[in-house]
Amino acid sequence: MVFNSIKFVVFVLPVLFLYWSFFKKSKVAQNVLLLASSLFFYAWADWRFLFLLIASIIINYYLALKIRKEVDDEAKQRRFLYIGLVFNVGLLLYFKYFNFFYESFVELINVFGITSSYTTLSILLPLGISFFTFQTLGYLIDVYNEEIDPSHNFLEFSLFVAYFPKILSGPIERATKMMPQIQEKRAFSYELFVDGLRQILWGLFAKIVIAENCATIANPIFNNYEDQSGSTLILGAFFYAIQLYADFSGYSNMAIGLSKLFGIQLMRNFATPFFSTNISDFWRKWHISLTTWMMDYVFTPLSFSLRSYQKNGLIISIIATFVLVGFWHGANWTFVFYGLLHGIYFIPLVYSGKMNTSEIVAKGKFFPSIIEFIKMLLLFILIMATDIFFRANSIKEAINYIISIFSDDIFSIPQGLFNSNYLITIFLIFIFFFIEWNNREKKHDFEINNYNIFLRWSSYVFLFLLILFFGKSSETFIYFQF
Amino acid sequence: MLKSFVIKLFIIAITFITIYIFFIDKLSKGFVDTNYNKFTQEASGLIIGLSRANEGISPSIIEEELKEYNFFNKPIVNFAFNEAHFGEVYYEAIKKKIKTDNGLFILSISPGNFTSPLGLDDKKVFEYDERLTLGKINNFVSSPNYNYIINVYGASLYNSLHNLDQWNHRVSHLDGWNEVKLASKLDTITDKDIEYWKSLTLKFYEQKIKTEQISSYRHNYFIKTVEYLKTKGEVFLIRMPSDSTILKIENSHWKNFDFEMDSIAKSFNIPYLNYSKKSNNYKTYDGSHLESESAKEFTELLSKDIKNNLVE
Repeated sequence: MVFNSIKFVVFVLPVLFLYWSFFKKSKVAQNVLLLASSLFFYAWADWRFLFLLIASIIINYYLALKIRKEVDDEAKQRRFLYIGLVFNVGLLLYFKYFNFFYESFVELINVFGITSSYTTLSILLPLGISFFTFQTLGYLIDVYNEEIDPSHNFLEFSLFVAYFPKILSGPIERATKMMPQIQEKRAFSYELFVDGLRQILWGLFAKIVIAENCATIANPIFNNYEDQSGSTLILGAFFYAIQLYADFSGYSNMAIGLSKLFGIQLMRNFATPFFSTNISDFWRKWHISLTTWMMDYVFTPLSFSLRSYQKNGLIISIIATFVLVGFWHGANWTFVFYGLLHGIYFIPLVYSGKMNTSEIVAKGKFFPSIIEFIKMLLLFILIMATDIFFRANSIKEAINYIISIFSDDIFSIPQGLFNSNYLITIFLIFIFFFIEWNNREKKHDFEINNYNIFLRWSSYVFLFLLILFFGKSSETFIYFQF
Repeated sequence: MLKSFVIKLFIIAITFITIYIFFIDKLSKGFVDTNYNKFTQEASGLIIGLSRANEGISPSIIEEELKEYNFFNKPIVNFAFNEAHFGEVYYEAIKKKIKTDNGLFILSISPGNFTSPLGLDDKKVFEYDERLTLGKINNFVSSPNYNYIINVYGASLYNSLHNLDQWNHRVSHLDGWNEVKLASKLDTITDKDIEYWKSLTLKFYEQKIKTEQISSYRHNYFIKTVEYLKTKGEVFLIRMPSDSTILKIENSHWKNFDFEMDSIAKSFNIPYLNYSKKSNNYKTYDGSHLESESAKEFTELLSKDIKNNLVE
């Protein structure tokens, strides 16, 4: 049941109606309805793992309480934290990475001449496991570090973990931000509700217009890359980079917008990342909920422990963090390499001392300077090249793709460039980024509440028509697989 | 305030839905997609199978050749397409499509009809099929078929104004046949193109072999389908001509395929017409699918053979 389906609309409209009518009188009633809806939503997506989700909620709830209870005994506290880490990481390792490690191990011993074969286990990946596991892990660590109080209300904690707008693909929410909202009764806010609808509209446009149209061009190119000219392969990588961004940011905007309809604000997940001038800035704006999680729970402690190695320690911490970021995406060496490359891109910044440079490009102006434009373009090319690893089935395939780009026909006219499908998609991408550029200083890409009524309604109608005419159906999101 | 807001939302939703329905309807009056015409009428005869039959057998030629027989109170429809593997989903769709007790049913078979993704058990093969076209709709006979357009049509509605997705070499007939012409108004498919596409087809087959398995579930439903169709009229099993290299790959992975199919045909007392050995007489545009002229010639031969069998 994806957000952009009729089934989902049929599911969510009655929930919304009940929420703001019969259930609005108390926070308990609101939370009960949201939790019941969330469990139903998850069961609809994959009922087989509903019990796993419930088990995860119960165990993490209990462990957090035990950690706080043993506040005077650090050894015991740590023991409960470790149990939590082992449980949550264990879930991920088993369901997501078991076959990967097993295959890699057998292939490794084969390299050393010990012939062995393997039969992979048929392990299904529970939907949203990477997202809800990271959320509960962060919660336990925060409780251990006394940054938050553990929840003493099972209903509220369950909702924090299972809340349906974010359960399948995030954002990876933090208890510090979300729990206080769940602990209060939500009052209907017209402004928030309308803002949520706007964000959903924008997310829909990004997903079913931009991402899906890019996919129809990128997929055949990637699937038959051996037979394409170098210039066509560049075009394929370009469209895939846009597809990946529009797909995931579109999903995130829909999730965040949907949550606003229930009066709960989730954290921003994308902040116009392609308008960045360096890789550090890019990662402050790309999949923000994952990046900040990794910064808080991996990078910061690691870089602190390696601080005596100065810049080299910092580089090791960054690369290790980004390898983990890559690996979080999936059990494939391509993702590890994807993360590694991003980590390597940071090295010049570390040595030049510009790692913390982050600012809104061309703030207060319409056009960027030439230098800013060149920096953005170069960064986009780097991201585009790295995304080839994200898309490819193996590192070998990605490298072959890149090698094939640098063939004799790299400067030829890409196949199909002047087809109407290509031209329309390029036109749509232009509109997409034009609107993003205009709103790059705002809280989200389609925050247009300060527009006058005519411009605001023209924008709605324009997006509606683009969705209606150029939208393509889609039943999944790229990030569902993670 | 809340009340006026809800009314406003309601008006917007109704406006949007009205515009959507208007363009859906407009789309239904023109070219929707290559499979749409297979789902817009009841049938008294069906061509069943995958893409080879989809592009290689013209129902109108069969109707013309066999008009002396009392088969066709309803049209014969090419109900073959590349997602139509044997299974419960296809079986149920066939049952809903047929409106006769004296029809003509041509089942085009090759090893491909019996494959499913590697590692799937029967239940999962069924679930896999359910996610494809036939599983998404429950109406196979209406014109216009909004059920199909809303649930299956995946391209943009802009196509209702100017179709971007129609290949200029393909003609999608109202009887479900997808004819592929070598020459179009814009260009001609050359022998070089054919060689190139054939190499892609071969590559596709090589990939497919690694990721697919012969499924007993599909085999069982094939038998079940034949059993059912026998109660509804005359049934013919055929194997279509294709490129010799591709046939060789198929035969190497199911060595006694023809023998087994022939045995099944005999057990049901129906003919098995194997045209794969006559492949050199026909031309494909990609190694697997017949181009227009060959498709017509082949359908004529098939019609004659059916006629001969009916006389016997």
